[in-house]
Amino acid sequence: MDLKEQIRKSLKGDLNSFNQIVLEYQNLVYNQAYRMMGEGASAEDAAQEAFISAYKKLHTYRGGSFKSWLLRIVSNACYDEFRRRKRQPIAPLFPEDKNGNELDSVSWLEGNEEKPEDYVLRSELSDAIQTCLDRLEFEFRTIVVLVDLQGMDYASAAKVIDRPLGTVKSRLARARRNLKDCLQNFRELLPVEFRQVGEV
Amino acid sequence: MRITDKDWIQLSAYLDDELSGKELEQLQKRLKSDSQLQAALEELNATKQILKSAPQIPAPRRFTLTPEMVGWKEKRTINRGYRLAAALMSFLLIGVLILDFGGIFFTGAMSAVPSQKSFEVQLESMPESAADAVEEPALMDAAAEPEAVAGEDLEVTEHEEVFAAEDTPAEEALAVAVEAAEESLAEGIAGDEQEEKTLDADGTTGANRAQVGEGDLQNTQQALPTQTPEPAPVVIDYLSKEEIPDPDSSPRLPTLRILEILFGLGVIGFSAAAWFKRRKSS
Repeated sequence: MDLKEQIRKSLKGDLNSFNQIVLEYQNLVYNQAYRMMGEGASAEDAAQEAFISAYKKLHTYRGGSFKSWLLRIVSNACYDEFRRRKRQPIAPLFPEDKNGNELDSVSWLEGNEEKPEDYVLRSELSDAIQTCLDRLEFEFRTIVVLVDLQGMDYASAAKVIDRPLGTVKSRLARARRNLKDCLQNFRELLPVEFRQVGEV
Repeated sequence: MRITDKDWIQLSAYLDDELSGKELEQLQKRLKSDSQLQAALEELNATKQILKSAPQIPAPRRFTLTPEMVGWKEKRTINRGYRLAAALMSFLLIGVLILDFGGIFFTGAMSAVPSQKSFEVQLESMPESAADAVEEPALMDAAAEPEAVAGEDLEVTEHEEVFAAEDTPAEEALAVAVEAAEESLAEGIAGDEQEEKTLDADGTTGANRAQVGEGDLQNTQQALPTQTPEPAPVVIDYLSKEEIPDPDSSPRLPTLRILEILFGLGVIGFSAAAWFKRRKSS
């Protein structure tokens, strides 16, 4: 069943059809949410809210890029979640178990399919990128995630954040400059080919 | 040469192929000659590649929706349906009430002055022969035909009895008229008997007797001193049989009452259901 058919059935109230869309796009949505929120719990909440909101607002989808439409909803959901968390900071400083106790081992870093050292390296690079993203203002971060991580063009990104094309262009350039400076602090984590660039 | 903010914007757009026209040409020219600008472009490109290479984080769980997550929408739709149904029932109830009470008012049943139609209905409900007697001077015709007097006299007597039993103002007037006609007829018959004898003696034919009869009619009409000139016939638009309500059975009224009760119960029921749903969901 293609996307149009799934959307058509979802509009008639078929939740199973919409859940097929959810399964198809959940990695994209969660990644966007994670990069914008900077941590897992908030990203999960934002992603879930985004899917609920997408289901409710599905009638507003008028064709075109479904990915852009969905990412716009994710961005709005993240922004709402970001403001909510800002008012009521509840994110733990350290990882917690299901009972809310702090984890004193590194077991939470362990992956099932990846070597621990690779996972750590990948995770550390990912964390380094995230740390630098978190230092950006929320809107700058959103544009970088949309263009550099999700691979959107400027026009689509402008639609998602509802800003003029010139704004996207200038803010992206400024965000990249800041990220460039920030990533110099994590040179040892960068792949070899990128380390040389910083030395120039 | 120092790199300005505008240069960074152009370099960033150049990396994404979002630069065109003159800007693109100028930047390409500058890049060939400006090593600092080239270095800045490389740094920006490296940053872009690092971001691009950032690992995709798999969703930690399924984000599929459950009916509970979106349930409020269905509840709201149901609630809205109840409210709409209650509103519809209210409109229908008002419509039926207008039809019921408004219908009575406009047909004149609640009016003090009887309408022409209600008078017509009364006339229609009278015995057919009596109504004819009021509107048409049939008795005068009867007086003009002496031969039929004996038979008709019997009929008039029967009517008298019927009218006396019913005792209505119109029938009383009719009875008075009949009495007056009888008296004049009795006088006419006495005169006729004398003339008949004379005619028989003269050998008059039946045709002559008919002519004499016509003369008698004129004499009879002149012999009624109290007879007023006949009024111009009034053309009355009679109701058709379907339009005349049957006083014994009126099916419209109970039907409307039943509808009023049903719609009233509907309004109360749907309103209560909407209220309960709203309270439950809140």
